[in-house]
Amino acid sequence: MERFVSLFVTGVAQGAVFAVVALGFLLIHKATGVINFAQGDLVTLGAYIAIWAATDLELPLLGAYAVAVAALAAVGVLIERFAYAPIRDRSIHVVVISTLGAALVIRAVIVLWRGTSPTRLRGPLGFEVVEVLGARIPKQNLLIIGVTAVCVAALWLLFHRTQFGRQVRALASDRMAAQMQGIRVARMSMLTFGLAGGLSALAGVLIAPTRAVTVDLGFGPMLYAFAASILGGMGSIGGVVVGALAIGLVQQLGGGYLSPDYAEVYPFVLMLLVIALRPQGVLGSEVRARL
Amino acid sequence: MTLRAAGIAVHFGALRAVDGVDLAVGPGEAVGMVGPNGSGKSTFLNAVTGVVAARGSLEVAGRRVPLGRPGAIRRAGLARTFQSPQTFRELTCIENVLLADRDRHATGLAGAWLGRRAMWRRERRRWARALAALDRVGLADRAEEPAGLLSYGQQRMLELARALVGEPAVLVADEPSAGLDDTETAELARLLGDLPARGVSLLVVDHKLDLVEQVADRVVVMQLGRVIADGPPAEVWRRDEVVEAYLGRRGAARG
Amino acid sequence: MGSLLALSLLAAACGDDDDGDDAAADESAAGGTTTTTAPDYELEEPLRIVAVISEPGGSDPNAVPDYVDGIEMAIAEINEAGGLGGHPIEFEAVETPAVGDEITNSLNLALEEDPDVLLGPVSSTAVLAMAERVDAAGVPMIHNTTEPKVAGDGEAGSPWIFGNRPPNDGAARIAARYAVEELGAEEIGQLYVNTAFGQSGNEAQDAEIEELGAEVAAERSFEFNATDLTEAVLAMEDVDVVLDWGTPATVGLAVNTLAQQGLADVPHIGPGSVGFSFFADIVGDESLLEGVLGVVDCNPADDDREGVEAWHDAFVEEYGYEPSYGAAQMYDAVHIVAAIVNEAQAADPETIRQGLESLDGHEGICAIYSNENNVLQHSSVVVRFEDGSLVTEKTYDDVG
Repeated sequence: MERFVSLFVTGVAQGAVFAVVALGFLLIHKATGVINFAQGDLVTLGAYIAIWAATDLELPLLGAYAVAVAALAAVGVLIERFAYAPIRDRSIHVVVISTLGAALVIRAVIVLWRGTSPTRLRGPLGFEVVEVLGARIPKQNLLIIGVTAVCVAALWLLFHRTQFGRQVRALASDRMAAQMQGIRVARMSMLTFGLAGGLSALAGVLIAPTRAVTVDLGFGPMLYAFAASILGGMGSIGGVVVGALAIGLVQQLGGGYLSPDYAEVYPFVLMLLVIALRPQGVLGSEVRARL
Repeated sequence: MTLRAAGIAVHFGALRAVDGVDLAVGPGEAVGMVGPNGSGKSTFLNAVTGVVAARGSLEVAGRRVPLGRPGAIRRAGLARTFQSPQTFRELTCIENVLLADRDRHATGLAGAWLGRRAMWRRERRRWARALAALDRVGLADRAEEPAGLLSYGQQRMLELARALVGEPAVLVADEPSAGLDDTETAELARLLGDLPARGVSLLVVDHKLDLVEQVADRVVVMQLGRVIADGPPAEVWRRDEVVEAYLGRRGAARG
Repeated sequence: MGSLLALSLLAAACGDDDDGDDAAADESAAGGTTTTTAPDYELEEPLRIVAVISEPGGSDPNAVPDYVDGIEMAIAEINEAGGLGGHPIEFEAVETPAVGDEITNSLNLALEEDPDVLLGPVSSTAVLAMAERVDAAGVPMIHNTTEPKVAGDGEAGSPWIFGNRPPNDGAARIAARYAVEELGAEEIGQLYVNTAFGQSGNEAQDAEIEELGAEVAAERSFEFNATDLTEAVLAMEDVDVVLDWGTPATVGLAVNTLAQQGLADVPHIGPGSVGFSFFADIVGDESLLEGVLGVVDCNPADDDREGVEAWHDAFVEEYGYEPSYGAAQMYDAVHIVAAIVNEAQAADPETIRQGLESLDGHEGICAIYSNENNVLQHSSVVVRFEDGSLVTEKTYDDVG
């Protein structure tokens, strides 16, 4: 039982981080139709900026986190301006490769700035644990889950209860018609890239305290977030969150109860199964109405 | 003038689809545009709504607006419905309508997070207006359903509700009765006919001349990319060139 | 006839050199400031050493100064004692990144300096990128990596390339041996990263554990960028010792997770990266380091062999920080080359290569060096963290 609780909470916490990254994918995909492959490196950059703000600027931890989120929102906008806007009308492949280029640039900048040796970002709760049903649960994992829940709720409200959110969804539904309705397409894509950048930083500062920070920090979360987006049908907040949690849980419980050797593979097996059996995603339907 | 289009010209290679059309629609005026297939009506509408590149000049609600910029033209106050309805299928009906609300405040990110109380107040007002608009077109009970589930005729009504809630200065309706049955057409005529009284000028292009006659107090007849007649319906129908170009067939059909 | 004449001319030339060198050697010996006396000969050209190592302030922000400081310390000693063959050793350091395309540029710049021997690089990526050109250029290289592909029998091996770190597999075996023989472990848990480093280390440990009659009770591998090791650590619940052949990042993560799961008391033996200064920063809390062990190449801070303590203190005084094993190894590399040059009374690349090839029992600060399969060092030290510094637990001289 303890083992199950431990793995379950870990799976949910990992899934929560994947969800935050995947929501960034989703936002940009909805507003622009593009998959932003720089998302993982934005996660890494967010963690490094928080480290810089906490150590070099000596800001209190939450202040450092806020600096990271704000800085990454700005970086997101810069990526939109330089890697997306100039080639917006080109083929989707060109744009996706351009985001990959942005990813490489970010990675190179991190290596030049902070180097390749691992470093650490402190978490507000240190390494404290809390016992739940006999299992020792790191408080940071509970924090990750809590912050993600708030974040998902806020995004849901943003998507469904604000004009901004409706405009993003209208863009996803029919780009031309959205433009005819007076939606400012360029501004929307800037805003979504900025918001997705901020989400990446949030994922970065959430996950960094649980492990050492290296230039590869965001790579794994990005891959799993991508798989989560496919699982969720790349259409809705609910789908993406369910997909991300499924991936975190499959990874932990599969690793814990089937064979640990393939823990990293289970999520992708699940993704391939879903692609084969339900290409519209777990929660997708013919008309993806409920977002 | 609510809408003033001057010297609108659209050339597709050698074909002069619209060849220097001037058209003005005054406040509260309802203008019908008719003409045989290929006379340039739809191309003209596409030009003044910014969908095709065109030469000429455009004023909406007294302001110059650049041609070829659909978003800017819409924001200036010119709304359009389409021959085949352009609704956002994945969004609910009420969300479709909300998108067009005239209140563009607090729609951005900063507004959403910072001015929350004011935003929720505005948001509630938007919902009220959107529901009222849906009610007017008879879709209030389907407000929370995805637009993709509506019938063709209902989607057209939804588009109309969307156009209404935005309180445009002028509504350009492109073949609004296409695909509608007689009852639906009658309902549509009633809704369109109400618009001028609500301060929305109207430019309607439709094949159903009864509908045009019913809602418009002025008719513009186009042929070969040019305006050949412009005036009150009763007067226009009598003109020789109109009869020759277009109404002859109507007479024949009626006879 | 011609060759006879050449030989006699050569003999005459050497004789002249010998005469000329006497005075120089006497002079420097009379100076009395040195620990070694320059032998009695003169080189035509001074020995040229070029380092291909990243330095702080260069392209690699994590570069540590240890390597180049070790080299410079040794060269300064020798030059103060009169140099080699009547000349001071000439030294250039060419800034070399740890990864990326710039590595080959650095090598080209280094070769333009006309070196008799290359010291470095210190990363596997860099030495693999350089191997083919070094072989073609015919310049001996002493690199500071455990990369098995550039060992004598490795696919990128070359008679010109030598390494002065003990092999990874051997160090991994030492971890297992220490666990069984010194800690009395019977049930052993293994963690390792899914890279050549982790997998070969894990296989070597498996073999050693079986040989020693102990048992692998749990084994978990993970990606180099693993973000969570909860499952892997929970599997270690009932083991006597955890052997961890991960990256510094994953070893740090394992230390933290073991503590969170209440397993901080289980001895945890990591690889050499545990001895890096940044390792302590990765682990959340210094108290968690207590009980963490590592297999490092040597531990100059705690070594009772003759002269090591004096060297350590001199280094700290000169440079103001604790020398890592890398500093000691590069210091030793210079002295190995100097000894070869003195012995052969020549400083050309081929002479140095031959000297490295036949190296046998050179006493250095970090180890006693002998060549085997183009690997010069064969000892490792098991260290333990105590109050934030590394304490030597046991030295092994037969690492392979």
